[in-house]
Amino acid sequence: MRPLVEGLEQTYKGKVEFRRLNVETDQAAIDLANTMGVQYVPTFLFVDASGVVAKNVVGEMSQQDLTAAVQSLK
Amino acid sequence: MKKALIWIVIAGAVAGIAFLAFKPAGGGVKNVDSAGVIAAQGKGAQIIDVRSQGEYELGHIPGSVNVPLDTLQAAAASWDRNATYVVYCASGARSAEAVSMMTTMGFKNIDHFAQGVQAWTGKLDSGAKSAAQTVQTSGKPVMIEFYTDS
Repeated sequence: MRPLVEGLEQTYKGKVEFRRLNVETDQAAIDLANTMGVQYVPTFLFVDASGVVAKNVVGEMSQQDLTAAVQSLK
Repeated sequence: MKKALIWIVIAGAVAGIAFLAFKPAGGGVKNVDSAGVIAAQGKGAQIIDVRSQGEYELGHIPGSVNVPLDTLQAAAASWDRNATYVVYCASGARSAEAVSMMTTMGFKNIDHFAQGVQAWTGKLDSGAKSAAQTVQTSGKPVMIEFYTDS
């Protein structure tokens, strides 16, 4: 997923913030995953500008779905 | 000598039959009803809802996780094959496919709530809970990916 996400990060630079969180090595990531009820990886959260989780996807995403989900964020 | 060999063969056959007859039960796939789902959940089973996200948000079994069927194979790749999972959908078609997929992937303990959410006798949670979750932002939308390298 990494190349896909990094490609999107370049496309939406300055408009959407991308956070890739390793839940094996990063304690802050683990804490956030617990808070958000994330149980499986990969899990994607699409959060609008006000901080509300607009979409939650468990499992790999296609480029098309990932792009559509990012585009739908406001 | 010949007699002794015959007895050895007979003893082996009896031991084999006894082993098969008294092999511990458990594992595999079993069908469960609402009560079975609750019982499994009480023992630590993970409830997997393989319907779409929209269906899930309309109403799902409390404590279940939404893993749409088309994402299941990728999502389940990192799951514990020895844990117990309860799988359900709306009426049994997609969950049957999910059970078949998970069995092929090597999952050993699957409870199939084949009647689906329409037969659930308890209350359902709605998607309001996940919509209420918030994340600190800098005023811009955020995409978060939780991942591991393994």
